[in-house]
Amino acid sequence: MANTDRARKLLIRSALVTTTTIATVFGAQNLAMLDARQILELTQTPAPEAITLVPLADGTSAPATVAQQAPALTIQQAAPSIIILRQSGQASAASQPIVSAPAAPSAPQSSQAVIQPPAPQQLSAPAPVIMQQAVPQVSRSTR
Amino acid sequence: MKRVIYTSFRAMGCGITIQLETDADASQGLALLAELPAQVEVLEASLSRFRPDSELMRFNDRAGQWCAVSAVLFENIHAAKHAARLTNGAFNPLVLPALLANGYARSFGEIGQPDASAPVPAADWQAIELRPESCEVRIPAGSAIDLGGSAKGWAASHLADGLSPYGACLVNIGGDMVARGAPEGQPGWEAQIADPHTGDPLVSLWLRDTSLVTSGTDFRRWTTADGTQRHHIIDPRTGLPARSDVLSVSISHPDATTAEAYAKAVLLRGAEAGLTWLQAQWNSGGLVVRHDGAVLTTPDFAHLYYERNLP
Repeated sequence: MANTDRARKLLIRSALVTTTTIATVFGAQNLAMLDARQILELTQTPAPEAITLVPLADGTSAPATVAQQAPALTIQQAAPSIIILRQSGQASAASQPIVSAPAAPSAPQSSQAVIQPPAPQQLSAPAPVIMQQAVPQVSRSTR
Repeated sequence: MKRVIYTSFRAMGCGITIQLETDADASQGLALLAELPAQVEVLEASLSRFRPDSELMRFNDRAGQWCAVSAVLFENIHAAKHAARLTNGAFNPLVLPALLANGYARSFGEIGQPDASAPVPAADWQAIELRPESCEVRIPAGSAIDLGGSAKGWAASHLADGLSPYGACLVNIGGDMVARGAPEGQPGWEAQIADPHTGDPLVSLWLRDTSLVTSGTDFRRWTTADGTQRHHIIDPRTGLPARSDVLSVSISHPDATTAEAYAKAVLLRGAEAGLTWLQAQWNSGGLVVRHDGAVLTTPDFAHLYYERNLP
């Protein structure tokens, strides 16, 4: 009789421990799933259909954007000691064809006088000749 | 097979020789070189101080006023002012009144035995005002510009830049040379520096994409009516011919106008001090012949010459 009671108590305790263990494991799994869902929501990227594709500008339009911004840069105000004789792309007098005459002065804005170069004189010179090789030249004070 | 086309004529008060390397068909090169005398005449008509009707002299007549000038004259004055800045005023384009006071009023071939007056120090080069946007220039009233110390170098560069798209070239204006490229098979264009004492070649160099100019007191000397010996290298501070142990100085520099200014600066400073100063300047080399016959160079210059090295 005593053995029967002891066995029954053991069975009941085992059932309680087993039930508690299963409940603990099940609850822990649920908590873990809830945490995982919250983390996923925080780091989730938009769905593909939510992304708006912006086409990249091609090679010709990109410089145009820069050029539109360029006039806002006032170089001379930033560095008043710099004199910009010519902007890029403008011909220099030194790079003009050698047969060209000097450029006429631009219209004066505030000058008192406009001075033009005189008409050049006729200069007679011997015709150029073809040489077998370069002729050594001598550097000395001007004469 | 490359060819070298050669032309020689007198203008700007000196001898000019120009060489251009071309292809076997030299017709285009011949036509280009045939145009050069007229091109030089255009420059001289604008820049000469010995022609009363030149653009420069009419500009000088209006000292104190803003004047719109041609691009050629503007660039020359701008380059001269820049050279004055580089040399801290040792080179000064406002030296014309001083030259006139020393009797150098006519081209050297016609100078004769002129009268001289009291020395006139040059005006402050910083007072040259420029308006690049309208090609306007103003100099102080009473001052006047002489471009004799820089215009030949500028003109040589101008001509060489025009020719270089067609082939390697060497432009020599009165001993001031500008080389662009080199003849086929050569390290450069051969140039010699003359010994001012003897006239014989002193050293030979290869020039390629650089300039070589020589300035000295061995030539362009005259005696005034009072019997005083004068020369054309004026000290801007005193208005008198420079007193220096330098008889002749040759400078190599990528820019010929700068080289001309450096030559004056070295001459005014004297041989050793001048070359020491020159050595500190960017990409510059120099050779000095002193009155006593000694020849000095900067280290950067010595490696340029060959063959006829000094004994």
